[in-house]
Amino acid sequence: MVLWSIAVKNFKDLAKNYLLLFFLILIPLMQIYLISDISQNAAQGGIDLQEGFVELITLTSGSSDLLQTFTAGILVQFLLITSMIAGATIVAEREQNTMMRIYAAPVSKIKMLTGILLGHSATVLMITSIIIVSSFKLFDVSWGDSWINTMIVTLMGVFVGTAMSFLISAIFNNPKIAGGIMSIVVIGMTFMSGGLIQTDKLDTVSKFTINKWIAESYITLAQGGGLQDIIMNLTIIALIGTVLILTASFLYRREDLYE
Amino acid sequence: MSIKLTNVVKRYDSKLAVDQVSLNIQQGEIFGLLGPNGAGKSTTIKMIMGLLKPNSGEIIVHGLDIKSKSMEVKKLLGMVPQDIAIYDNISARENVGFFGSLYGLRGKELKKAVDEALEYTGLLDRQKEKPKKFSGGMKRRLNIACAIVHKPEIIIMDEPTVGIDPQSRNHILESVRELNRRGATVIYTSHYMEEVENLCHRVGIIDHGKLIALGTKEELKMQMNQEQLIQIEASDIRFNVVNEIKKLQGVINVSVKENILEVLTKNAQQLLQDILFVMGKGNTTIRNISLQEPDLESVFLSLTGRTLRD
Repeated sequence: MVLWSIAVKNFKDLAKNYLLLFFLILIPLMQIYLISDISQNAAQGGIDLQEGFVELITLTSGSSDLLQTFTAGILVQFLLITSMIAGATIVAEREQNTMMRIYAAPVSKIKMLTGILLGHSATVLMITSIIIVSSFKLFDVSWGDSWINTMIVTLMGVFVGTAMSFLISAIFNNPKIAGGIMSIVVIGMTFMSGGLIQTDKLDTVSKFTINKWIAESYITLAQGGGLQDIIMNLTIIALIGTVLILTASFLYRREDLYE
Repeated sequence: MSIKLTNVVKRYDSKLAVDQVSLNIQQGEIFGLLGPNGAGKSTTIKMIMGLLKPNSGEIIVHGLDIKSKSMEVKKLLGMVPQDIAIYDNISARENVGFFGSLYGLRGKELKKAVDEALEYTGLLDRQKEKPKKFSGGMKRRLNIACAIVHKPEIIIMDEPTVGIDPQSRNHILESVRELNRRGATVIYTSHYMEEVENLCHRVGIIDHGKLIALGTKEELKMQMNQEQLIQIEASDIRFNVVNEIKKLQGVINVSVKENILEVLTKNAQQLLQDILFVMGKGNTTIRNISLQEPDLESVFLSLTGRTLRD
């Protein structure tokens, strides 16, 4: 029950920040709207009128593929941004001494950290799910034939995103520095994964980003693939998440974890 | 016995923060831990709270070893940390409720406990407001409400009055007395000598990680062997009365300045009765009596050669 209290408290912390929620949902939906609009125009207007997208349309074999590719990239970016914001609250919790107060209560370290991570994961899951459902309803973005498969990929994304923010929160003591580092990591990974521009030159380096494996899973599902087609992606995501969680847990073993 | 520390040592790398501290804190007392900033007070109470592990030594709380029974011990304790530890983005009520829930309080029991804690700290009428709108004193009171919501048997207060206005300070000090009257054992750390002097039944003085003195205020003042000055304003102080007072046991020096008799002694409380008897016999009319006692500040100065705020 204590774990539940901590999880609910951490979920509410972000979920009650309506302005933040508004932007975390509105901005990706606006981006998806723009991509949707461009891809429709590209399909209607032909290659000559959309010179900048010649290569993209050719690669993804159609405007709906273009929409799905970019939407998946945008979704993953915002999944990670939300995770990072949640991670920064762990650092803030240490800075404002509330973590010390929790730890002074009869709550084990593992319950405290698990409660915080569960609360954050629920927030990230909520925002990601709203973006997925809204993009499907408003812009006809396909997320595949099975919502269960989409949910599995989303849960794995939430797991690895929360794990990454957990690790960064374990390393840095200042919430502003942690927030800055987290932003750099998200922007850097989004760029390296090819989420901002599509080019073959990033193929190798993109394999070292979380974004690539999650976005690729969504795109495969959208193109009619099943779980069997993304099993390698899910395994890699699970491995990265586990390594990040274990490393963060090791760092949080220090005695004064609340400071 | 409430809390017993035996030869407790805490090191941070090469720095010895707490050095072989041993003390007993009795159930139902207000125990003051006095010392300058960085003396080892906070480290000591963090070890009692189970937030830090001692490198060596033993801490027993109500018969439970903090090392092996830390969860049981934590249930008995309430902590008011030196730095305010509350959430600014949720209401005062939600703050108290959240921390109460960590001690297993649920439903009606939690609601009642939150109401009592807020009422006790005078925040019931502001319960729906977020602490970011509160004054420093109100935040300190909320800090206390969060610590007492589960009705702990032992309350540990680490400098709870730092940086607040006199009105809030008085409110907090009166709250501490009331908590103690209700049966709580209180450990109170401060570098404000007058607070500890007025509030605490017994005092431990800590400096450079060592417990350098321990006892009641009177015992500490006696320890320092400081002289006290009795001043008696009276009319018609006769020579034979002064001579007789000089012969009393414990008198170091007697002088008369105009109509004020001054007696220097190391044991004023016992001697005063004898002086009054002698003066009464000599038909001296007494107008005023005052006693200049050493305070804890002078005790600390005497023990360490520096003041608490150095």
